[in-house]
Amino acid sequence: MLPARAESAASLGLTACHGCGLLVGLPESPATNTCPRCAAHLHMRKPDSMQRTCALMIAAYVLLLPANLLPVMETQSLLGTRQDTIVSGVIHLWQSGSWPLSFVVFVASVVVPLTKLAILTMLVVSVQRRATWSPRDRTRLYRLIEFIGRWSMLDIYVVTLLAALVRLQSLATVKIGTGAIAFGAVVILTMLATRTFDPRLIWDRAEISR
Amino acid sequence: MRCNPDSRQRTLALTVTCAILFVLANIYPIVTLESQGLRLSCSLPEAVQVLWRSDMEFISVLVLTTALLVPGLEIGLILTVLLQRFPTPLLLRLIEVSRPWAMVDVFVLGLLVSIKKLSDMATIVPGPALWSFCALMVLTASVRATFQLRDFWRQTSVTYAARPS
Repeated sequence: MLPARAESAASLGLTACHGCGLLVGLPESPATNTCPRCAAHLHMRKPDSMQRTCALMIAAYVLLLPANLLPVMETQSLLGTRQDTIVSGVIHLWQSGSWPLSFVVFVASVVVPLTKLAILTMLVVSVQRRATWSPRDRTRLYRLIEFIGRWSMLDIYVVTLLAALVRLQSLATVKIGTGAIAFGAVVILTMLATRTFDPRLIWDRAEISR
Repeated sequence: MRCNPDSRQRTLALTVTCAILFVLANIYPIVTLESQGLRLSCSLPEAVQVLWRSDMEFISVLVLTTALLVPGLEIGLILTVLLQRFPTPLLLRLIEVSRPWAMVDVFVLGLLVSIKKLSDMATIVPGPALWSFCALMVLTASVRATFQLRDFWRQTSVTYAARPS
């Protein structure tokens, strides 16, 4: 909860500019308000935060299926052709003894995207239902997903480098599968969804019920 | 307040080094693969090209943007702002917007993972770009720590008369 004497900026008619952080007073009519310092549009809260976040999250969920079911990498070697999805690639690494690698890829490509989506879903639902439990912890969770978001790009880079380097004709070739495109899209969509979500909404609901 | 010229000079030196490292990292090959007499090496732009030619345009653009364009843009913008007398608000905003999309640190980790994977099937010789990327990752973190956007925003306010809407 907010400490006893604190007032929220919104209740005082002030808002922090999202472009430069300047605290500006907002008149009642929203109209065209621009920050006097950086000319960015001023908003009390991120515009259409819930709608945009939900839309992006749904798209991410939809693409999560092809990302994990379709192969991300196709390896052709003297031993034959092998198609790997994200999960089968992790298992293959584990079985061939590279435990640390297997763990790193597993965390970056499976744990991180799922955790991000799960936490973001929980945050959205909690705001929608005007929940009041621990806004501070919820904000911490939001900061967590903001931080870990980019790390799911790891597998994309790995696959890129392998495909670019392993072009040894009949000896070995690596090609990227369509699953990688879906996975890349999931990473981008979840990063955008985290950006459109306004964590101040968590506190708005907590304040009303005080 | 970090407006003193010493701090600015230090940040400027770091940023110039970053710029040099960035150029090196993209010109030279990252690693060289050797197997059965065949030898292949590639730099980041070359890897992006390979992807583009294999009809993987989306990923090609994604990797190009997050590992090359945006990091380069960020360095260029910071350099420009440091050399300006009064910082331009637009440039400061662009710096802020581009920060989350510059993923050099994730790229370096991806590099290391790929190298470990490749070393099982062939001999790997690290190239100059690999070290440049690692150094770039560390120095970019330094620059971000010393380049305080807030101070630069304050310097822009000096040049206009503040009026609430």
